[in-house]
Amino acid sequence: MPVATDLLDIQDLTVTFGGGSSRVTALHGVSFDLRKGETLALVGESGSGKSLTALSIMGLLPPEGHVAGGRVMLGSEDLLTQSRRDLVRTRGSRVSMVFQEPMTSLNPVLTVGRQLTEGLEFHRGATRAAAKARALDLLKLVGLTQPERRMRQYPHQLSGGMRQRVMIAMALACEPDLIIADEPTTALDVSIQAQIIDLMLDIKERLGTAILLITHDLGVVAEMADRIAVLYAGHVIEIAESLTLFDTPRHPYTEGLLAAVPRLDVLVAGTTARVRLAELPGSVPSPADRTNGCPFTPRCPIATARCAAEMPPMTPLDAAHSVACWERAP
Amino acid sequence: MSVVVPAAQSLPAPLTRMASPRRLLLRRMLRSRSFLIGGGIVVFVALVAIFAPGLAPFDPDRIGAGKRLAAPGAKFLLGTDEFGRDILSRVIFGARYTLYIGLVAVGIGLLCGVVIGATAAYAGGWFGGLLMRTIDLLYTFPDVLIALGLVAFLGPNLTNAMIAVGISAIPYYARVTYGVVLSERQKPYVDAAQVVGAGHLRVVVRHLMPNVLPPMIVVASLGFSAAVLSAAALSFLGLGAQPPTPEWGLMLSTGRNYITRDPWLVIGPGVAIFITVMAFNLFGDGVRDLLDPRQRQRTQ
Repeated sequence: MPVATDLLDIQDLTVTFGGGSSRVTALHGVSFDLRKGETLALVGESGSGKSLTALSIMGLLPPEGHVAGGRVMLGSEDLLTQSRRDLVRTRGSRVSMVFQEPMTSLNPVLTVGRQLTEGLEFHRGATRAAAKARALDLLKLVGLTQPERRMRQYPHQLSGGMRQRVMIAMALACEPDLIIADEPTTALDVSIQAQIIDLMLDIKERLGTAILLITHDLGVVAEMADRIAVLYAGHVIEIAESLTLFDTPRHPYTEGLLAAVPRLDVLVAGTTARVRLAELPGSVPSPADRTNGCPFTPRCPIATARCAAEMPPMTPLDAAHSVACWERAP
Repeated sequence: MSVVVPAAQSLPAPLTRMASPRRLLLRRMLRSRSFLIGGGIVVFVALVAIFAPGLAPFDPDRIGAGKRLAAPGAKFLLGTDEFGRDILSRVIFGARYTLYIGLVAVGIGLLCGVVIGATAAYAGGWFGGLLMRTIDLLYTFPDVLIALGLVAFLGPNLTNAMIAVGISAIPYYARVTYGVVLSERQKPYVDAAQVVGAGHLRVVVRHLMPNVLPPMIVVASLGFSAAVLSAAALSFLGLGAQPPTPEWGLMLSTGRNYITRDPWLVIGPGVAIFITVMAFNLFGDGVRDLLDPRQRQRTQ
């Protein structure tokens, strides 16, 4: 139910690719909501539809992609039915995005300063001088040293971590209510990852920006997220608060996912014999051969006949924990 | 006497001066032979064109400056033509027409080609497809043929010849631009620009164009020589410059009647065309080497 504090409310988002007989459904009625100042993590394997969800929100689906149904409510507006003009206005000023590849997400032939001030100039109508002053503040905010020098530099003169900081500064430029971070740390070294996570947590505290974090790295999720939505083959199969999900996962897929994470403490405290990592047998079914049933059925240790025939609905276990599984939430 | 060496003396001199990007580019320019030779001749031809009135020993149009069909000698270094005009002076003034034709034709072709190619690549879908298939259709005809048709339609004079040569080169520029924009448009920085709220026009002009133009500079400098050749061909066929304009193609055309007896009538303008075209080709190759060092390593 949309509450007064809801910032983003996604209902039944369905995205298909192609048409006619080759039409495949990539997102099956994805629903979740995001409150002001909250960090929600979307986790799942490659191809589960995480990035597609983000691109649908931004209206940046590839040309073959098509939103077949659902609503993406930002406040009281449906982003999916917005005019192109309003959409361009929404992007950057109300919703912004940080991409996975800091190496290629910045324009190689424009200076950092130019790219930072651009959004300010056309969203806010800021003068060049005002935009420049704001850009310097932003660079300081994201912890870059020598901001004046950085403004004049080109992306190839910066390291990966510095570029990701610039990307975050760009996303923050017009003080959006929501930042979508699509694998913001995946392409970075582990030590830099920690810095970027700290930076994003710090910014969230200071500016109250909500973050939709898209990742497959459960370590990052544990550090950052308030709540977690688990995506499998285009379905949201479990949503819970971060701690709840890590302590008491209900969906067998979530259990498998958590068991598959390498754990440093087990290695250190364990016996001389190496503990073998748990793995999920099989792989995600291709979107082209999906049945009506739960897509996890072929890999599920507790599957029944019903699972193969019918997709379980999201069922609340308590106020903050919902799961889509016939066996765990009948 | 003190044993202690003063600190100031022991300081090492700055090891290397920081190699600024500009200095690196300059060093690469000086090392590229084709860039140096090609660029040098291009500059030379340009200077000749600019200072033609000062350089030419005679008025290029002055009939009877010397004997008719005089062989090259001390007074007329390249001889005289059938009206006794000094061929050297005519070749010198011809450089003006050649560069002018090249600039206008490349300008028209590049401008229209880039706009069409970029629009088709960025828009994509059926619209982009239709646009590019139309361009492909034009591309199947040799560009001199298209230029010929256009001049026949517009009327034979130098201005129309320039326009025709420019238009006939549009498919070439459009195709190159299409390819470059198509590959650039898929890079994440384009999405990133849209995410910040840049509209289509802004994405194309501000973000894509700066990435597309460097390869287009190479294409344009190579296209320049093609334009010079096409324009000379049109003039040779009597569809471009009209007499008595000292245009190289036209000089070849009128000189060919005397080619067996008095070959200097065609040697002057012919060599001029050859040198200019070769210079622009070398220059274009050189610029490509400078802008894309990886390509160069592969081809070497």
